[in-house]
Amino acid sequence: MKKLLFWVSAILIFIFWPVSFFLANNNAWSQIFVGTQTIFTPDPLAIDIQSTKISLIPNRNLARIYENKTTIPLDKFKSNVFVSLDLNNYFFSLHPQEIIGGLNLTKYPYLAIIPFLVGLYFFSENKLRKWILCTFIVAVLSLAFINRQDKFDILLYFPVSAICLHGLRKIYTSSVIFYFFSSVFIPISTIEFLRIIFAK
Amino acid sequence: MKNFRKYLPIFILIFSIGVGIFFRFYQLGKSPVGVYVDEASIGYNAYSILKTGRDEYGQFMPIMFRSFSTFQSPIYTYITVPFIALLGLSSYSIRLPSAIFGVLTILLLYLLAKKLSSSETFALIAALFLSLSPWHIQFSRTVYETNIALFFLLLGALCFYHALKKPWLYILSSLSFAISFIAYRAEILIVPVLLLMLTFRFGKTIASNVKSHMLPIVLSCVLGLIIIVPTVLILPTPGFQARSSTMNIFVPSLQEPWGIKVDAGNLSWILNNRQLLSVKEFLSLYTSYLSPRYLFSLGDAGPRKPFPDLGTFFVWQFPFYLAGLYFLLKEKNKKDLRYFVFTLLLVSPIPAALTRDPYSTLRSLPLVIPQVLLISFGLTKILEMTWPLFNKQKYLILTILAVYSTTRMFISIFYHNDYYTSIYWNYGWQQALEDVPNLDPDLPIVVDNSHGDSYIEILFFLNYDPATYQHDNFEVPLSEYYTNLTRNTTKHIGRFTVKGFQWGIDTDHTEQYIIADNIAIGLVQIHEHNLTIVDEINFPSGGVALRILKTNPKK
Repeated sequence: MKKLLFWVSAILIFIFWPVSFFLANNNAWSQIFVGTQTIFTPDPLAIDIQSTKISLIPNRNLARIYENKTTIPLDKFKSNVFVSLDLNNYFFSLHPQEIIGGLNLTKYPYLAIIPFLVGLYFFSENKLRKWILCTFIVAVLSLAFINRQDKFDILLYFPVSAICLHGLRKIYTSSVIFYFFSSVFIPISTIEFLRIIFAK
Repeated sequence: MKNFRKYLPIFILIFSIGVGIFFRFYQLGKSPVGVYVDEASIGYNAYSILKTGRDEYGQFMPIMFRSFSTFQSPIYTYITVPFIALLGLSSYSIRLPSAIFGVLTILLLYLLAKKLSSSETFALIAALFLSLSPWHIQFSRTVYETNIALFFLLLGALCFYHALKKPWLYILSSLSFAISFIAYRAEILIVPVLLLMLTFRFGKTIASNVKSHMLPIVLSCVLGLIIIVPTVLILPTPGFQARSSTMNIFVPSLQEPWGIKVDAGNLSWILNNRQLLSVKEFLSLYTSYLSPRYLFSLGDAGPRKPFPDLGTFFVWQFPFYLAGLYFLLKEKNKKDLRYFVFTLLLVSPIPAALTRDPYSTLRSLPLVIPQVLLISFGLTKILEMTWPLFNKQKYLILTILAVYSTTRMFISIFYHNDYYTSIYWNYGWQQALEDVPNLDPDLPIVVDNSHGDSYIEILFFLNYDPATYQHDNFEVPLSEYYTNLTRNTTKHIGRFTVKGFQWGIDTDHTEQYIIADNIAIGLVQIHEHNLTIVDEINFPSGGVALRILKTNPKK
């Protein structure tokens, strides 16, 4: 019974992101790369805003240091990195600050944040820690160069899921805690899964 | 050289406080431009207390200030009274208490960090980071009760830790906690939880010294209760509950919870279960307060909270934040620090997450303390672990990063902020009212109130006599001050009448002046009703803030 609950929990953790991704792109696989831009693509609106900011700084040299050609791509890079590092990106569809026009997918059931945090706490005991860390860092840095990274951040599915699985295994070692956790996690995550499948 | 090393910590502390003073006092009262209605309300009510002993509605020394039926906490208002007595009613005098308490908080944090960790380096870094914190600077330059509440929260904690060896400090601790409790609503949850943690942590220590601790503890409890009882008594009143019920995500309201699925069909009863969705929304809001994306990139999305292009912390502090989390969890001999930091870290977001505002830095200000401590601890540990490798290079890099970020913050606060946010600080009223002496004194002035409580701006900038205002305006019977939420939207302030604007009646039949913003009366309506533009006050960004118009009724 305990094993069954473990595997049901694990499946619920693993299934969300692929299903959400498939449903979001179902009618548009051929378009998935269309309109993809990098952070170096000229952004007229950002340039306009930057010109205004420069005009407000009385000292020209100061303005050049803080508002120059590298500022816009650097700011976008920084913003993209932190989107990948945002827990709400994975467990709450980026709520409360969803990206306008973005996919804002439901990537994991929100209660999976518990095994994720447990997995992070015991990360040093994870046998795959080097692989997870390298994959995660490389994926985050690569995605940060893309303007609309939400179409491609499924690259992070494997490292994040591995951390969740490790955390779930840790919870599994204590029967009382695991049964309590799964009694709440499984019904609520099932409801969340039904919300992805049956409702828009 | 020996003398230099001996006095270096004092020098760094003085430098940190000096930098903190600069960013909190430079152009205080002028930036942000404008005075927000809540600020004007606190300021004018303090002025009213000074002149009459009563608030704008005539209530004698209120426990909470009614203020647009939102019921503000009283501490900031009462603290502002002597400042207004000395300096007069102005944007500077009402923001001055916040700046002073903001600077004192830096010193408090230094003392507290030193007490919790016994590390001078850690305490100095924490003081410096708080002095440079955009989050803390924002609320030290403006009139928000949360800043004062934070000061007293830290003072209460510091006195408690010292009271373990000097028991009579329990009294000062209790008074501080009690003031913090009533100074801002978030502290109503945070103070009891922090006290619970301290009691749990040091219960045995206190019990083993019962003889010397008992009397001070009993006295401190009694004094603390005396202070908070009046507030506790009005907790159940509609007045106190009004703001909580409109903001609380668990209270059924007109606004749907986040995540409602429109086409859930027959499964709607379970897929759109309100309680489950509210819990999900609460958790999402809660985790946002601990998320690096908001701390180091996005910041607060609210209209008056952030400085442009700044998160609540600087980007380069992020690795130290992670290091601080890691080392503090693993460190075995920093129990006091760990208890304090993680209690505040986990409790501070709760009051803020109960409201719908995403990542509200106002309601979660106490969170700045554990996060500054974590960043400082991470940096301290990394410096210790890498001692003595590349010392000069490390300090040089850190200095460059600090100077770069501080200059960027200066540009954001004093060059960009007013341009981008003046629209949200009710800019224009001071300029409009300065024009009033140039108008025909025989004609009345109608002020449109459709976009906020503009009457308070008029009272504030005119320093209007509170006794006259109380006499000429009625809101609710004083016996119903905390229970009756009715609002009288028409106000009489000398020749000013603040009311809902009526086309035709106010524009075509009576010769008078009208003050309104561009949304209330646009250029098309001005032309249609044959109004004359007497003056336009523009935002720093160029749009029209307010217009003074004159009617030309047909005879």
